[in-house]
Amino acid sequence: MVPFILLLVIVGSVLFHIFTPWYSTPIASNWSNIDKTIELTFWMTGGVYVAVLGFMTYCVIRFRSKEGHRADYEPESKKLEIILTVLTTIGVAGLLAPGLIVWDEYVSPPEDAMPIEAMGQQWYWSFRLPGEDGVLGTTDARNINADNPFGMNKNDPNGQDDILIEGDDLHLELEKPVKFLLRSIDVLHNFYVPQFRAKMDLVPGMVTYYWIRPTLAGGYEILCAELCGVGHHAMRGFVKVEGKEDYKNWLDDQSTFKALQEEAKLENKEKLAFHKSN
Amino acid sequence: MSESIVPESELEEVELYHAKSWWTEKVFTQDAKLIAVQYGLTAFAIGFVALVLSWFMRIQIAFPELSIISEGTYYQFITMHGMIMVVYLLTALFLGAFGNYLIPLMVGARDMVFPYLNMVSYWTYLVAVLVLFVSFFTPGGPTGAGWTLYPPQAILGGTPGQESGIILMLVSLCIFIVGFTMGGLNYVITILQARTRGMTLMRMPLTVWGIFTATVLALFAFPALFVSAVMMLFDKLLMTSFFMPALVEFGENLTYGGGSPILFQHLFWFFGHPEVYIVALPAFGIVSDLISVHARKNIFGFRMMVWAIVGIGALSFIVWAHHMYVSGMNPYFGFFFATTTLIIAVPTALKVYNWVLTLWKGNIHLTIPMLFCLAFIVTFLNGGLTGLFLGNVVVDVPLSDTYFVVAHFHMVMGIAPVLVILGAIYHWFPLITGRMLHDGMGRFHFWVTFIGSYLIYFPMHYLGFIGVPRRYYEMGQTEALYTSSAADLNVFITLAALAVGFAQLVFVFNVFWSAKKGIVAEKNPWKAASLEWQTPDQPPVHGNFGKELPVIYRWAYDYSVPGAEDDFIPQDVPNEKVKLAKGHSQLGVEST
Amino acid sequence: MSIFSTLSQKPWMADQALVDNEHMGKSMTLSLRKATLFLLLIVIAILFTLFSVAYIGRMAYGDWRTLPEPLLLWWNTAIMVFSSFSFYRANVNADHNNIKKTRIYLLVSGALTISFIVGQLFVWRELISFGYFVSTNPSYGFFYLLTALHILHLLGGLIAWLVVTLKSFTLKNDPVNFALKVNLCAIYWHFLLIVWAFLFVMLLLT
Repeated sequence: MVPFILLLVIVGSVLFHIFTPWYSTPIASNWSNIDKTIELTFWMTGGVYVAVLGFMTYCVIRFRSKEGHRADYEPESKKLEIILTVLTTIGVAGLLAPGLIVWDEYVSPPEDAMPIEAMGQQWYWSFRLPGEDGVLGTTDARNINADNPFGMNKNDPNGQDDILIEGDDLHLELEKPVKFLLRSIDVLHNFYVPQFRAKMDLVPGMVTYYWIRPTLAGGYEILCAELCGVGHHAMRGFVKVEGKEDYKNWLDDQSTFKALQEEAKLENKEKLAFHKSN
Repeated sequence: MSESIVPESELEEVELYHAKSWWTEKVFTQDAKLIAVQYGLTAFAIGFVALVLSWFMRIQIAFPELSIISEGTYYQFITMHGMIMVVYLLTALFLGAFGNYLIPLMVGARDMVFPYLNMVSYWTYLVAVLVLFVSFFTPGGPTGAGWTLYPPQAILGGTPGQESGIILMLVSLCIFIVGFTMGGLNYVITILQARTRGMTLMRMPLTVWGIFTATVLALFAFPALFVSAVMMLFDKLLMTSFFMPALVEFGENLTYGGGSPILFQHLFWFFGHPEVYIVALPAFGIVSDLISVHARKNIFGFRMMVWAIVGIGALSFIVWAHHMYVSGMNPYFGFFFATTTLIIAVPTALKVYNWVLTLWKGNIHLTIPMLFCLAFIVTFLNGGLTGLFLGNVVVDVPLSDTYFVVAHFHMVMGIAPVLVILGAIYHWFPLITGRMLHDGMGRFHFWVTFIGSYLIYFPMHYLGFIGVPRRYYEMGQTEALYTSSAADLNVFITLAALAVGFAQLVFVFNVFWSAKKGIVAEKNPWKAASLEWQTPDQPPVHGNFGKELPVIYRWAYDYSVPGAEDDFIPQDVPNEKVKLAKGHSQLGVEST
Repeated sequence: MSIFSTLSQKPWMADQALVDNEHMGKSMTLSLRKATLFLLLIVIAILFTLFSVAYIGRMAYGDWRTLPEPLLLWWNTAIMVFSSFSFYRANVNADHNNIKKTRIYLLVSGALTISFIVGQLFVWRELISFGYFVSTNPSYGFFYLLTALHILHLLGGLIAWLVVTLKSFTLKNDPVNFALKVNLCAIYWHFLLIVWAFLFVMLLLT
């Protein structure tokens, strides 16, 4: 019975992998290389798994204790151990090398990538686009108040035309590389879109980054992937990848920091007038 | 050489402790064997609490519409489950329980070198456990920060248990570390300085090697946890900004500023990664010995096994940041840590090969301990191979913080070591109690535990592939990933988890029932060669060995030696006293 | 014998077995207590090293302010040096079986240690009176934390000191064990002096 069940475990695992309905979502970014590295790792480790367990099962069948049977006496075999060491080292190097090459791409955003800030707080996402000058203004968590939820430095000229998106979807242009600059104002979060295959933590007090090039139009959910308190599972956002035309239309509808500031000023004045007239 | 001489270590300094009353004999005992049992029972008791927590978590994940627990409670449960299992169960069990029981017996000492310190170590551990347990009943409950306790979240208002739970957790960890250090000094010095005559380091069984290396790792790694816990306590209680940057909590600017959450992560994982091997190395050692005994064959490549244990232990201090690939640390660290991490795979793989090669041409008895060993190889190999995914920095990017990680670490440092613990209990139960565990219940327990946990964790990897994040109270509407079939898979996993949980109840019953009513074990029932079975009494009495300490004449793996009649030669039997097989004039291959 | 040659032994070989049978079961010539103390000191050293690493890591951030250096710290350092030296003298006298002198030096060391601790508390008071609280800046936080930790280790040592000193009054015929205990205390004090010197230099330099 024992070898039979062991065989069942091996065969079952392989069949499960072949017929599983649960596998990666269709990829929507340039990181197909990551998928390929996973695939490579799968084949190599899967092969080792089946081989070692198969050998073990064979031993259990073949060398099961019998009357009058006696085990061999063999403390070690230098030759066999050297062969196994070398083979394993080669296999491991074969996994590592492609992995490091792809990692190098992952941490080196292209020059023309558009910076987009994703800001996390308990428990929602906001975004900031650089506006016409292509440069994001500086920020400081200490500047944050009801009128300035992003903590923008008001006298930074680069920040005036920044486009602020609070509590709404982010849109991306198809095939245009973006570099996400990640910022948190309270605890750790993680900006994760499964279809992009990329993620990185948001760390309060610093700015982290990664880059992608969206390759498939559609709407994708942003999931927070770093425990950030009781609302962690509900911290969702939405990103929409679309063609140039649609993207431009969307962009034109958004407001800049300057516009929002003036709006806020106006509102405050109205409030003041309202109070006075009473 | 046949005349035994009491070794020097026996005469110097160590005085065997003698109990004067029932209290000092049974409760405040200084006998390492009883302390081991105390450690074991305490660890299992608190571990059982953690097991029950996991049932609630699984029911919540599978049937979110029931809302059996609230969000806050869910996060508190995952935190306590993780911390208890890793530190208070596995570490305490392997080092406190198995270490205390086996080290003196296996190296031929009468007790630990400092029995009083050993006792204090246990009671300190008990206080740590109680402090942790009390947090369930304080206002706000235990902390829900996740077992990694990452700041700033761990000490801010959006996390449950920030009133007192997090403080009790950190204090409890500090107490645990102090208590462990007392025990750890004892284990290391006993192994280095109090072995019996003839017991060279390389004659020690791999169990002792595993526990020894793990203890050294723990002594060097736990200070990092201590440092991070103390600094976080300062941040929480005295408002320092060691780890706390300027931040805004629910629209309010806090007084913190300038600190670095990543610094905490580095300290935490500088402890956290060796911690994995603190759990794994004793398991490696024990499983090697069990395989060897029950396959009636010496462990294949003994020297390689020792080197691998020591090598893995040393390497484990330079791989910690592979837990932080997507933490926001300097991304160029990724190159270094991916390389070191994959290097550590080589000695680990060699260990797996050697276990399997020990079976080759063996004489395999499919006893319950052996079954657990086979199951360990399956689960450890599985978890080790998925480690190659997560260790290879870029492959980790899509998989980190998903159920793939949960499945990986449960397989490799949850299920695999626990299978070893269970196998070890079946193996050494006759030595500890003098009775055998019930075989039928044991086999039932084994099959449900092994197949059940495989069915829990193997499919769980695939939830990770589709991208389901871990630590989610509920998935909600996420059609692209969390299809109805994925939800069904979660229901299946929960059912398997509950079945495995039930099987543990059978095991607990078996332990208590067999301790009273089990079949009385014959002397050395598995015919093992290592020293712990060669005591004059079974179970061994206080002082372990009779009037004179044994003298050691061979390594711990003389199974099926050509020329000997029996298929094992105990370590304390000199060559002249070995009964030769018919037609043989001497031991060894030459004569055949 | 080096660790490497130990690890390359083949314990199953007949010729190795003959050598191994003669082994006395100890890996070091140190006595049990001394070996344990050294291991403990390694662990404590790692603890302080990790704190220092955290200190240096935290220093790299912009908000770091340099510490003020109260003059009192120099006095305390001098007291710590004398305390350690007095332990050295106690040790020498214990080795020569000169119990009376040992006792005097032990009492002097204890008194100096206690005054060191009180002195450190005065340093705290001085800092607080200047408005430098634990939470004012991480550098102050570290100062309080590290000095407190060092004091805690001294307090632990004082327990051992108390046991040994009491023993020196009732001592009859166990001079070897007594000398060993004095020796262990002395080693611990020298170690804590080194730790303090290390911390002091680190705090001075930054």
